[in-house]
Amino acid sequence: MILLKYAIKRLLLLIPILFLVSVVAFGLVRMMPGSAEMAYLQAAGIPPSEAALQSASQELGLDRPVYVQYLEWIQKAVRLDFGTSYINNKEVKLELLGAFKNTMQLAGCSTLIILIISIPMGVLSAVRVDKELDNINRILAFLGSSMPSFWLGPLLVQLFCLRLGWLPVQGMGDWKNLILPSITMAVLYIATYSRCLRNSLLENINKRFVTYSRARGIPEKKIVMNHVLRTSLIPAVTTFGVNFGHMMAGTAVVEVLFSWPGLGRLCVSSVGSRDFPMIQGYIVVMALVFILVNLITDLITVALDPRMRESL
Amino acid sequence: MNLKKFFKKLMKRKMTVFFGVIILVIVLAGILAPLIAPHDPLEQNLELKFSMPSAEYPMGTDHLGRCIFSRVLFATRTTLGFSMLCTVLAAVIGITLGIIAGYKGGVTDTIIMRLCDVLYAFPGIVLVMAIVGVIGVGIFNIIIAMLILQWLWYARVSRNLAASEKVRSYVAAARLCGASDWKIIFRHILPNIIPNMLAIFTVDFGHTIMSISGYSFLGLGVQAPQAEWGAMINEGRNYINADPWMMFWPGIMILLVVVSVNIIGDHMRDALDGQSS
Repeated sequence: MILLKYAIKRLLLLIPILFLVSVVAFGLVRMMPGSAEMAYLQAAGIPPSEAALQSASQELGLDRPVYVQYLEWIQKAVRLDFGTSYINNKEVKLELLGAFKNTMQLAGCSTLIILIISIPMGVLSAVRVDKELDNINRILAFLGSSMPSFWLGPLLVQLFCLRLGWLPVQGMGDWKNLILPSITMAVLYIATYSRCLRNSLLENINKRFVTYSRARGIPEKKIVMNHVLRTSLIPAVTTFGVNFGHMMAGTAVVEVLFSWPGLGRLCVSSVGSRDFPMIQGYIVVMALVFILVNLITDLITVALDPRMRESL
Repeated sequence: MNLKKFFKKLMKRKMTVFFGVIILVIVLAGILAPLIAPHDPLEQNLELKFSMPSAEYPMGTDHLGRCIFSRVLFATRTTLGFSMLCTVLAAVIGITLGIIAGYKGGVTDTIIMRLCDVLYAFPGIVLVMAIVGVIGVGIFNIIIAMLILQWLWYARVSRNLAASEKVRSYVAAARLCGASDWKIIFRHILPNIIPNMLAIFTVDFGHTIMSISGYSFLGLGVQAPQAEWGAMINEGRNYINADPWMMFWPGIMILLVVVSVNIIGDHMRDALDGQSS
C-alpha cells in the first residue's frame, strides 16, 4: 500500500518534468537563429526562393499559432511520431527504434561486463582491506574513472585489431564487434561500482548480525557471500539505476568511435546536419528512458529495503 | 572547519602535495606556453608531416606538420581554461542560490529546491545535445548548455550547510551585534562552507575537463584548428596507423590532470570526514 502511494507520488512528479521535456523538444525548431523553413530548405538542398519558403512553411505547418502547433505536435509525439528526417526523408520513428535497439545491445553487453568484473573486485577488496589487492584495485579505480573513453577506445583498437588482429575494427553483426565498444564503455563504471561495493561491504561487515553469524560458527566465506554481500548490493543497485540513463546517453562517444549505429551517433550526426525532427525524437526518447529507469530504480530500492519504507 | 585548518590537514599527506605539484606544473606550462613552446601551434609545414620526435619537435609533428608539443602546451590553456570557466560559473551560481535558499528558508527555499528536483531528473548530455542542436556547435554554447545542470550539486550541498550553520549560536551572536544579513553570509557562513565547496569543486573540475574535451572530440565544442586535447585526439584518431603518438600525448595529459584532480578531491573529502568524527 505504501509502495503504491509512493509510486503514485513519483508519477505525479513526472508531469512537470515531461512537460519541460516536451517544451524543450518542441521549442527547438522555434528557438533557433534563422527560420525553420530556411533550415528545412537548406537541409533538403532546395534553393531558398520566396515560393519555396512559403510552401515549406505550409508543409511544416508553421503558418498557424504556436499553441495549435504545440498541441498538434504533442498529440503525435505521444505516439512517437516525429515526422520524417530532413536529410533522407526516412521516418524518424523507425530510425530511432532501430538505433535504440543497437544502443540497448551495447549498453546491455557493457552492463554484463561491469557486473562480472566489478562484483568480485569489490568483494576481494573488502575482504583484504588495505592489503596489496585492495591498493591495486584503488589505483585501477582512479585510473579507470579518469580515463577518457575517446582515448582508450582507439588505443584498444590499435592493440587488439590492428597489431594483434584478434577483433574486427568496426561495424556490427558479429558478437566480436560488441567486445571492444562494451569494454571501452565499461571501464569507467567498473571503477565506480567496485569502489562503491567495497565501501558498502566494509560498512556492513562490522554490523551486529555479522558478529552473531560468526558466533554461530558459520564459515567466513558463507557470511560474506550470503549475508553481507546481499545487504551491500542495495546501494550498488541504486547507483547503477541512476547511472544507467547516463550510460545510455553517454554511449555517443563510443558509438562514434566504433561506428556503432546507435542513438548517440545518430544524434551527433543530426546535430551536425541540423536535422530537427531527429533531434526532437532523440530528446523525447532519451528523456523517457532516463525518467523510467530512475522511477524503476527507486521502486526497486524501496521494495528491496524494508527500512526505506518507513522513511516515506 | 576553516580554510587554514583544512589546508594544513590536506598538506600532511604526501600524495596530495605530489599531485598538487603535478597540476601546478601543468597549469604553469599552459600559462607560459608562448614562452616555452618551440613553435607556433598553428604553423604548418607539410614537408615535415609525421616526423619522429627530435630536438626541434620534442613530440614529433602531426598530419599537417605542426609541432605536437607546442599544440599540447597551447591546448592546456584551451581545455583547462574553458573547464575552469565553466566550473567557476557553476560554483558561483550554485553556491549563491544554495545559500539564499538555506539562509532565507520558506518560499524561496521551496522554489529553488523544487527547481533542483526537476532539473536533477534531466539527463545532462541530452540537454547539451538539444541546446547545441539549436544554437549551433561551439565551445561557448557547450558551456552555456552544461551550466544549466552543473550548478545543482553546489546548490544542494551549500543549501543544507547554510541551513545548518544558520541556527548555530555564532550566527545569533553576530545578529545580536547588529550584523546585517549580507555580513553574516559573507563574513560568517561562507567561510565555513568554503572547504566543503572546494572538495566538490575539485571533483567537478575533473568531470568538466572530461566533458569539455569529450564534446570537442565529438566536434561539438572547440573547433579546429584551435588546439584542444579532445579535438586533438579526434584528429589523431584518423592517423593512428601513420603516427599513434599524435593522439597519445593529449590523452595522457587529460589522464594525468583528471587523475590528479580526482585524488586530491578524494583526500579533501577524507579531510572533511575527519572533522565530523
